[in-house]
Amino acid sequence: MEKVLSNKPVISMLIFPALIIYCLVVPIPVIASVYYSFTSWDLIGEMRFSGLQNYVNLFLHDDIFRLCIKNTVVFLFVSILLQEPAAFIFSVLLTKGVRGQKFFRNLFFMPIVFSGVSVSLMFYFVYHPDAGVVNNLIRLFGNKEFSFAWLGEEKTALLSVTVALAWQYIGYHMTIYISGISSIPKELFEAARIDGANEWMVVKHIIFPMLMPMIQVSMILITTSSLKAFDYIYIMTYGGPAHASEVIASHMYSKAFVQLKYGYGSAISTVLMVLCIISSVILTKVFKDRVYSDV
Amino acid sequence: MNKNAMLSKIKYIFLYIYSIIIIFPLLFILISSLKDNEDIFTNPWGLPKVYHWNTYLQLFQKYGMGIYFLNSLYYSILGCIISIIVCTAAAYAISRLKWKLSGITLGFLLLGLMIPAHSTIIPLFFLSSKIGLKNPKISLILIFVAFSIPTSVYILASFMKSIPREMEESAVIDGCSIIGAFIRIITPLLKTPIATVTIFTFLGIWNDLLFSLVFINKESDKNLQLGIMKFLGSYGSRYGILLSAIVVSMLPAIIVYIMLQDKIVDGLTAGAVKG
Amino acid sequence: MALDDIINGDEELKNTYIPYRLAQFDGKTYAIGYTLTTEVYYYNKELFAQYNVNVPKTYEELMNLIKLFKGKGIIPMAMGNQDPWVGSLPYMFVFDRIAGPFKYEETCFDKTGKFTDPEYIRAAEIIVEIAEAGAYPNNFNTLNYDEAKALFTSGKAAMYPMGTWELANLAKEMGDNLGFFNFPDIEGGIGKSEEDWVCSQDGATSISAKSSADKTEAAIKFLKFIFSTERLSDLAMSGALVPAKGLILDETKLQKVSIDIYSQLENVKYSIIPWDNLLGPNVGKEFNLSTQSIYAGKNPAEVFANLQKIADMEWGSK
Repeated sequence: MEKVLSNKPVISMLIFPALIIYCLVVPIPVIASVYYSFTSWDLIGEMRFSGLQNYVNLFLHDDIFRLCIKNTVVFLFVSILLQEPAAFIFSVLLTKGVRGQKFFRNLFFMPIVFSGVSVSLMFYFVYHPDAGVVNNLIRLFGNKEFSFAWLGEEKTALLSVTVALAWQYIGYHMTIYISGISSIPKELFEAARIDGANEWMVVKHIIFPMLMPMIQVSMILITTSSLKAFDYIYIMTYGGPAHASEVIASHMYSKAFVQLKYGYGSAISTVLMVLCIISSVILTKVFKDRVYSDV
Repeated sequence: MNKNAMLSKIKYIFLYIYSIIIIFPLLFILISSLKDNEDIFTNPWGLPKVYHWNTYLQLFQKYGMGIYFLNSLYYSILGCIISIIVCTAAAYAISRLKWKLSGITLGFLLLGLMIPAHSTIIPLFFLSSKIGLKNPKISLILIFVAFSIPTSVYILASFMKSIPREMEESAVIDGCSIIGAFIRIITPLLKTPIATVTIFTFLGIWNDLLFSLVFINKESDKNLQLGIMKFLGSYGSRYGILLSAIVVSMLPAIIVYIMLQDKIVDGLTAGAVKG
Repeated sequence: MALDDIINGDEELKNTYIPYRLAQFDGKTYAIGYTLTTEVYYYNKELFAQYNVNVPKTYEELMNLIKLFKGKGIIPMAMGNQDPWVGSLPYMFVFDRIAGPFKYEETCFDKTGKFTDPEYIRAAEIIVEIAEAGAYPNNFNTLNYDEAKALFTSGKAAMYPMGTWELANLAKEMGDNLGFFNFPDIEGGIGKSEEDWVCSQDGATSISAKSSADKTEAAIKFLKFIFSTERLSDLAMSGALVPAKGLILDETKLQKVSIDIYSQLENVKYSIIPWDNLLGPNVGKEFNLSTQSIYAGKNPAEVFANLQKIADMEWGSK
């Protein structure tokens, strides 16, 4: 049997298609991308090796990039603020056996199947100064002439996009937490009740600690997806007004595919990748001490 | 027990409020899509004065919505099929066959989870134009398959690990080749993880924008996401069309979701949690 | 190869062709374009007649027009600056009227001038003046292109700064009601409304210097054919705007406004090329965003200092 299971040609045949496709598309281009980031290249001219010039420009001279970093960080923190507490609260509420629990769970999760494009277009309309939901609501309750351009004003553009993102993803994180809560042994809850703990104490001392692995997963997901956010920005604001909502991914797209600066764009995407990796590592470390694998 | 009753009411209020937050924009878009421009601006809260169903017709007749749909179906279905075949084979080799590098290979494939698509897109773009792959369909599908490999192989391999060894043993004893055992005995057992993986992959391809944006140039190749974006640009002032396009793009997702709710929820969270 | 000799040697070409700067290098012509787009201020003749006003000849008159229309509840000018290049149109006009048709070349062509020079700031102040006088619709800085156009065609706005690619559309909606004028002169400035227009050419045709002798021969014949008065007139009749004079235009078949544009174009001495075309996709985009920021209230000196920084990074500081 051993020999049958170690049949090299068979193994190769089974694994190679996936391996080849994967290598062609993921690791090799990544390495190429890092290489390109050290060149100055715009597809028409020649590729000139320019060493660290791109990175120097990026970090020292590109004010827009600095704005992107700030925007991406703001984007991330606001997203966490909007999505995580709500997801947590809903997950607690919807694991108690309230009436219609299944309905609520499935409803809240639904927005995740939509594409970023659909959701962005929808919110573009929702935020429209004249015809949109938000301004119409405000007009109902107050100023009849209110026509603020949420996506067009510097101060609100980025935040408006994060709201759209939260609308779509709160249910996702909620469901992750629900699956976590569902796997907490019932005995713990019973024991706590016998000891006279009220709801709040149950949440604080049982649910929250036991949910740490899930929180870790959720935080890693939300961090990497915030870093990568592209669809929403591209459609709702295109980085505007005047780069007020420009994030790393949109800046990369603009530099590489609109201005045809492939070397520079590669530098930006390399920075993005490094950020993704670093944040995953940091988050894993942070949670390592708090995740109890056994109770 | 009054406090409890109040607390319970508050909980319900929260839940109802968020339900409204989810449903309301969708409803608003749906109803507004049937209004003409005047109506949208002057009568935002009411039902349409005149029902303009023809915007939906126009989407397909004049604006090529059908083509976008078909293209998306093409990319997604083909991508899924290729991905499932390739990933199941690889997962089988990794999880059930004996070779030294199986662990490393799995780790190598999983590294892909940490890498954002953005870091590969420039070289891929250059590579495909150099090779002269005139047809973006081939390059796009390969790319989609490639990015589906880490998650799919992981889910499939995890599942397959739990299948008892006896399955292959008895088949081999009966004279079956290992491949035969794989195809005839193991694969039928994989209905659940394959369903999960299909949902992931299909959704990922159907909803893609970044790669489609970069690789697709011809109108006739555009997928749904890329296609509906045009309704924002030059048709910006004809809201009926834009809104109808949004509705049409969301409808399939809603319908499929309503039909397969639980499967989808379980599937997507299982994948995320394991990742 | 340089086409000057060919052009000057051919009587017909010489009289038809109006040399525009774009195709010239080192003082010689290297390409001829066969269609032209220019940018003007369209206006609603009916609205003007209704309030008994004329096309403004000076900046002061323009401001009075704005105040008048605003007072009557009509949007003076339709503008949708969601695509930031739209708002840069008035800026280029104003800049020319203040600083003359050659100043912009320092920053856009030669890359020696600086956006922080006083003329740029002054021009910015003027476009803000126009905006603050209430010339544009509410939220114009984020207003969609199509919605702005609709404001003009539906008669809600009296004027509309835009390019001639819209000429056919607007003429279809508004017929003889459509008029146009070039941005008026600003007192004390160098540029002249009559002579300075913002235009760009398309369809540039040139002959490769590397062609063999008989291929060049054939190319020259082709050039003379395409750019003969006959062919150009046909092209003009089909609706395109052609950078030539002495065209034979059938007045009954072409919109009056097109014919008017042609007669005005004959007086053009200096064509100002839209800056974002010259500045390239990076700096050009930033230039447009600069004017958009200025409309949003940002300090012009700061905005242009930023723009200069980006330009320096792009072309290596000089």
